[in-house]
Amino acid sequence: MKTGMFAVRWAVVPVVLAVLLVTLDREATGWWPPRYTLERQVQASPAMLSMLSFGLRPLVADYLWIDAVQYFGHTLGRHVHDLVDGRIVERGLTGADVRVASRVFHLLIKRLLAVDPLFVRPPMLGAMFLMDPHADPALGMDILQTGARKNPGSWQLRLWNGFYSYALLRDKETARRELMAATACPGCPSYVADVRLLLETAPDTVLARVFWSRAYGEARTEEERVYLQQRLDELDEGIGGFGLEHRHEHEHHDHDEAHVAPVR
Amino acid sequence: MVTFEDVKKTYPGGLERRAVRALNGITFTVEPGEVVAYVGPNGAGKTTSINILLGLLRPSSGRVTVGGHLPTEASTRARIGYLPERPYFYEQLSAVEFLRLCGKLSGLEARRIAQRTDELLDRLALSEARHRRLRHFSRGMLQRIGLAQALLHDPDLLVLDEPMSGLDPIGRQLVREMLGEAKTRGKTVLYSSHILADAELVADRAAVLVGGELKALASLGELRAVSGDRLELVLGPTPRVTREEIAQRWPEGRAVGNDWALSVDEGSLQLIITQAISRGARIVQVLRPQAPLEETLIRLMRQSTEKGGNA
Amino acid sequence: MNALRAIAVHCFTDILRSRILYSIVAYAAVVMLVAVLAGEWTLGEEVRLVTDLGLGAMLLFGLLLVLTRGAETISREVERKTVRVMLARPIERWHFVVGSYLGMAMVLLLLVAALLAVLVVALLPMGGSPSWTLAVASWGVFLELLMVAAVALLASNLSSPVLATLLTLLVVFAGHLATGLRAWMDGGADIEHLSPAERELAAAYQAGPLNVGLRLGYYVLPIVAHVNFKTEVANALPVPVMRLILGTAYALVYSGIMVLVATAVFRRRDVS
Repeated sequence: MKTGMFAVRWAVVPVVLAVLLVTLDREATGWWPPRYTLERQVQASPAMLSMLSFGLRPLVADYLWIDAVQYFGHTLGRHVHDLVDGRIVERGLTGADVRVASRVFHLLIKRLLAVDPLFVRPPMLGAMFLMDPHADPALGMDILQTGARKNPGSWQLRLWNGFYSYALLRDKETARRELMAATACPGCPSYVADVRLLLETAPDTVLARVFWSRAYGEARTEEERVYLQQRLDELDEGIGGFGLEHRHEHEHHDHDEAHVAPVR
Repeated sequence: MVTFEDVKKTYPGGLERRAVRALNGITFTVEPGEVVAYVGPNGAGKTTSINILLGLLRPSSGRVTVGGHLPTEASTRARIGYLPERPYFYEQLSAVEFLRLCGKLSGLEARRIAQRTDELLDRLALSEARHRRLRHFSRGMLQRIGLAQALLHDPDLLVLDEPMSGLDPIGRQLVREMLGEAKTRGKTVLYSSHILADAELVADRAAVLVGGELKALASLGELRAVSGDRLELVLGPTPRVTREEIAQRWPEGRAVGNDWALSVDEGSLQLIITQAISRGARIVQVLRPQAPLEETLIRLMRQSTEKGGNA
Repeated sequence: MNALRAIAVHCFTDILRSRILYSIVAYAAVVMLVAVLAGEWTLGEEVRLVTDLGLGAMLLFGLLLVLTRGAETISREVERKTVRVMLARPIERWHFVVGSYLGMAMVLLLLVAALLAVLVVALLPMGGSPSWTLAVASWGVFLELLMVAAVALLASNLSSPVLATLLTLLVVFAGHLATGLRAWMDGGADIEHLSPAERELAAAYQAGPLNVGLRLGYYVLPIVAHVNFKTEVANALPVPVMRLILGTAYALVYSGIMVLVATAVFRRRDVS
């Protein structure tokens, strides 16, 4: 009897592992319907998620981050940038789909920030991805501003918020204030002070090159590096300014909210 | 040494059970150096009273003292060695580990524990199993290790709840010897048992508990004498009358060889002898039998039941 | 004191002899597995994910241990009647209760330390360095488990093992919920994220009885948020020393009170 129970118990382990692996790779195996559709229905509010997290809010935030990354990878990330033979090829969704995906991605990050406002990289990377030519810079700015407001001690969010405020919105006053605040944050590297000085004195291209180069140096993932390399390449090709201005026209476009299921 | 003073214990009832009175005012004393057999049927209150003696239960009223002190005081229990009715021990421990734990809880020093452990395991024929886990012990071995832990700190009072239970004849003999040694060394023993034959061999006195009441407390001789108001009359056949004819006349008797034995009270003895002789029977013998403790117990139980019934 | 130490050591070794080592191995396997897979999922946040998951698993395994063993500390001994042999010896009853608790506490400390070591080993190849904050967060997990074990000890004194486990689980869950609920309803959470139903609940709370009940519960339940330093470690923030001291003091005082109550209950209890 005991031997039987022992065998049953240990038989459970490979079954659980198999289920886990299949679940992780469910789209590859085709055993499961794809989960990352364009439209999303998010049921639990961040407040409820936090409360039911059993004291593991950061872990819940991690889950939400993975969820957001996966969503991005299956929508905006997959279709906006593809690397073909070493060259970046832009293959976009239709305009309406991009707006829907951007809005969902933006809300996923906002939801995450409600659970763990101190999580730095989601607003930073989320904004970076939304600043992409085919995405939605206004929503990117919103994420950055929300992140910086909720986590005022983060020099990264202050720096990016300041930089984009100037580069995208031409709001030099906000940029100056944010960069100043960034230098006062604990752990802020010395180059942020240089960026602040360049903001006052240098042409846009110089400021842009310093910023993108530093950001490239700090990038942790291939996705970040691809995006930042693209910005640097644009500078090399002589596209003026920050390579962002042409997106400004997207800023006030109408969001096609009918495509977005309720997301809180 | 041990005094029970009008001890009552009632287990409170609950939603689905009624309150149960387990002890109904028992009073007795066990003198120092005495071995007292504590006997009674199941549910008589033996284990309840032992639990009170050990401070595990609190009496509803009355009090129990050991050497004048309450058993709820730790220092009182330092003088008591207890063998539980069933040997519920930590089965994941080895014999040595278990005795070491017991020794530490009794406040013994490590060296003393080691010395006593060796002595007792050797004496109880458990030396070879000293490092074996208790879960691999047989019932008899568990009983012996239980006795070892009870004796470990050399207590003045031994409270043994069914010590012979699960033991083979050799084990029983061993325990009897050890109890004899304890008695020789002036230890007091309260010995609860269903196996009355064993109790008879070692006890000085017996306390008979029935239905939560103390029915008798006397030396074994006195207890047996209590049953001496009945005599055994043995009638033998003659050419005039056969055993079957005698049996037909007194069917309550029993066959003893070719004879027929009757249990009669002293008052009716003369009449029955006269009737027997007139019918031609032979009077083989009249004797006053030594009633075994078991018979005494059964008789006291019956009396108790009849009283309860009459009431 | 010898008796107390003997009982504590006995409980400690007793629990260690159970299958706790399996859980450590399982923990190591899960953390390592996630460590391998995490890179793809998190866009550079694998250290954070493994840390959070490691601390979460530490808590989970600790809770499992407390719920399976702690919640039956006394009731199991009473049911198996092994307690009789102990209490028949010259020890005080509080020795048994406190010793059992200390034994469980030692196991929990060992478990948390061992799992922390596994976590650090898993983090090293990913570039995560052992940090003071990680140690502090693990200490917080230990303190939380200490409080849960104290609740379990009391519950184990009041009911059967199964009921004690359920009761403990309920109290711990309510303790977690109370913190979130209070913060939420006091306006600590973003109102913009509340659903209409949640807003109604918040309004009911502001109205009265629920408010009083929750505040009362807040003082009776183990508020584990006081010793939860996981957010700090996840975001590489320092834990203020005063918060650490107060959190530790809260956990010790709360656990002490629970053990005290458990002792008082056990002293009056008939053990048959």
